[in-house]
Amino acid sequence: MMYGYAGHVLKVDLTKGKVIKEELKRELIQKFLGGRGFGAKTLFDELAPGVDPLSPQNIIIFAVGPFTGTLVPKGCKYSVISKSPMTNCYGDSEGGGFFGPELKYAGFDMIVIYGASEKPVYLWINDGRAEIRDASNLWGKSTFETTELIQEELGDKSIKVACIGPAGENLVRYACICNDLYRQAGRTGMGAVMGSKKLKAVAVRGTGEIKIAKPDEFLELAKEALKKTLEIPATKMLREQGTLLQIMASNEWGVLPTRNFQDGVFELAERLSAQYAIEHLFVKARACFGCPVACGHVRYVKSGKYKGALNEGPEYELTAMLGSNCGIGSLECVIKAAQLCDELGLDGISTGNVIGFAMECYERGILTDKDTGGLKLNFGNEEALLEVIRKIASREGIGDLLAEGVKRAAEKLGKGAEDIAVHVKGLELPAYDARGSMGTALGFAIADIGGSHCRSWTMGPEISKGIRFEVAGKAEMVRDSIRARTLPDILGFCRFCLLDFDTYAKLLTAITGIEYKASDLIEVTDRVYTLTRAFNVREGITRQQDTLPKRVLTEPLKQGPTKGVYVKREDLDKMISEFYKLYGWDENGIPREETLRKLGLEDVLESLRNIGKISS
Amino acid sequence: MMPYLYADPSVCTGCRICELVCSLYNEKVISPNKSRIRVVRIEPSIDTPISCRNCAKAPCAEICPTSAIYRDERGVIMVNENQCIGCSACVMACPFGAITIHPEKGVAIKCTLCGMCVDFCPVRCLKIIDSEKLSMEKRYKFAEQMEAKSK
Repeated sequence: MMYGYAGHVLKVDLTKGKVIKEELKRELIQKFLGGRGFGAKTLFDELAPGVDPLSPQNIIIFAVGPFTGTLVPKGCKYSVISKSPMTNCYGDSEGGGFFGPELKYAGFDMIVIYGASEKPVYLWINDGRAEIRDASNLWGKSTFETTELIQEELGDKSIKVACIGPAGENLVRYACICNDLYRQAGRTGMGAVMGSKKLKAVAVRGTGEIKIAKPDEFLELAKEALKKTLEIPATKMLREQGTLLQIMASNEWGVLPTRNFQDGVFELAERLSAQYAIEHLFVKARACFGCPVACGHVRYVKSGKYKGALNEGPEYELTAMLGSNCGIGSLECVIKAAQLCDELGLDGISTGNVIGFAMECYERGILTDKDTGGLKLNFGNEEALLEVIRKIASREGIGDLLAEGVKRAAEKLGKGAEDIAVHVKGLELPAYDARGSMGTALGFAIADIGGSHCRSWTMGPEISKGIRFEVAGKAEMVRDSIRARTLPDILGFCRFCLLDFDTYAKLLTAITGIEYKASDLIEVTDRVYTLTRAFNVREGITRQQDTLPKRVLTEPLKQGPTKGVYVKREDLDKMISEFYKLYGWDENGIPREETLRKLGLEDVLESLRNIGKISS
Repeated sequence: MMPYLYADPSVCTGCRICELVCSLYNEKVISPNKSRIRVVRIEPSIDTPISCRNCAKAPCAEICPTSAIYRDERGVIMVNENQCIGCSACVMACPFGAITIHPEKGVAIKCTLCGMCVDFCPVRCLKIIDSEKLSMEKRYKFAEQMEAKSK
């Protein structure tokens, strides 16, 4: 009997049109626990280095963890793992909503998808069975239409759908996967990988159960965890204000990306704030599966030129990137933009970063009216913002260039565009200016998936302790934050309002019947993070790529508490060296032999030896 | 008066924690499909928990061919699992979808007012109440509103 897991893996070969159901291997559980851990291990083992992420050789994996779909607070998450078409490195993204739990109730902990179909298809998983179905009628449809059409075709409104929109079909490199309408596995271009495989959607219905080793004990522990979660001040704040509460905080901290990261303070921030949303646009707070926080806010524009625009969201990241970063001071316009991104299947973070970049290029004359097809791409031009989002998704005109992301677009443009492209390893930076705290700078530089806040978030604690511009101790802070944020992706819960490792170890023990200590869980996060580092090393990543955009390293911010601040190269170097040391990686960022052995990654050691990355 | 579980859809966030705790407490497994309370989400803004209302004229009890459905001393409609044959007549009769057939046991299952979901609901949208008390609460709320306006 397998407690806490569904017990099965679904393998799908889209080239051959076949599905196979296999048992979930116990060794995989022992070392990697679930979710992102399962995916990272499977990708490392099964994907040869050097594969084009948008070729049929790439693999895409959906995985859930032992907390997904259980009574652990916020146990709603699934991970999508693949080689990223943005970074050519390891990529993953996590989605909330209801899709992950449904997959587990349908009897699967992981789906591994190989090959590519010739014609558009979708995968239909129904209580332990799976089939590949024709999706010709869905191709070209928005994520909303796709979801509804599949539910209609299969005759069940409770079917959960994760799908791509036109952006994914058109291989926009930062296309996302959209599930349950308003939830996204947003980052690292997982939607483009699905598009390259002509896989429009994964639809799931599950009526099964998750067996719990110690149900009575688990009930008590879950109650305690729920109580503790509700006592965290952020829980109440997030429910009342949504993640938009961060807009004014970031603005006060001087880290709100403004006009393509030229500034960290936006004069119209209040118009994007939680307070503004509550007063003018709020409909209701909605939760993902099993979540007591309910940070999702449904918002509706009642009047004006965006009348009728509706979104569950927009959340902080998208609002800052498509708002202040594009010089847009209208939350109504951002709601419309968020709705478009959701429908078309675009990652709002990368989209906002890319458009901010394009606007700066336009204002500097790097992009001209000829390039934009007459579109006046100035900062703050709301119509142009919405139009360019549509063009990106369809790769029409200027959209074709911008669909490649800032790194590739800047390389093609030349004329100094590379100096203003704000990304790490090809992934656009999110809505916290890296100059605002040294921990953030380090976290973005070394993140395995490129410029992302999904790996570590130390800015808040750094600011509250008054140490944000200090270098000392930051490697350790970032390491601890990575551990705390990796665990949720592995076990399948949300990274907001976290409790301590001890609590999670007790919950996992009660669910699985296997004894876990906090130190065991920490070790698994280190194993997974070192494994994905090894994946990147195998793909050719070196210390050189663990860096920050030129803007962050040379241009001081202009106003507020971050005025005059930029990240000094030598400071970054010092932190990176310390960080490598903490993880047991050498000066070049290659995991050391003893580290790999200690983590039980002997097969990874072998793999790195075979290609000469580690001497034998 | 018959007590029942009252859910306020204007407060419910649709998290479905009630479904999880219901199945864990009553069935010792996690399975929304075995929960006696179910949350229905209608896009974009309705989340409504649905469970038995312990109707005064309970159609499920009236239609049950084996008289397996009865009212206990608390006034709660209960299912005698030994008498139930799993014919689904009650499912057909219930206007709310609040009674279902257990997928393995083949007997009708419904809310027994154990109150676990009330304890776990993170937004306090659930409570056990009867119609007299509920209408009284509403009268007071209405009167308080009038009082506030009169100031």
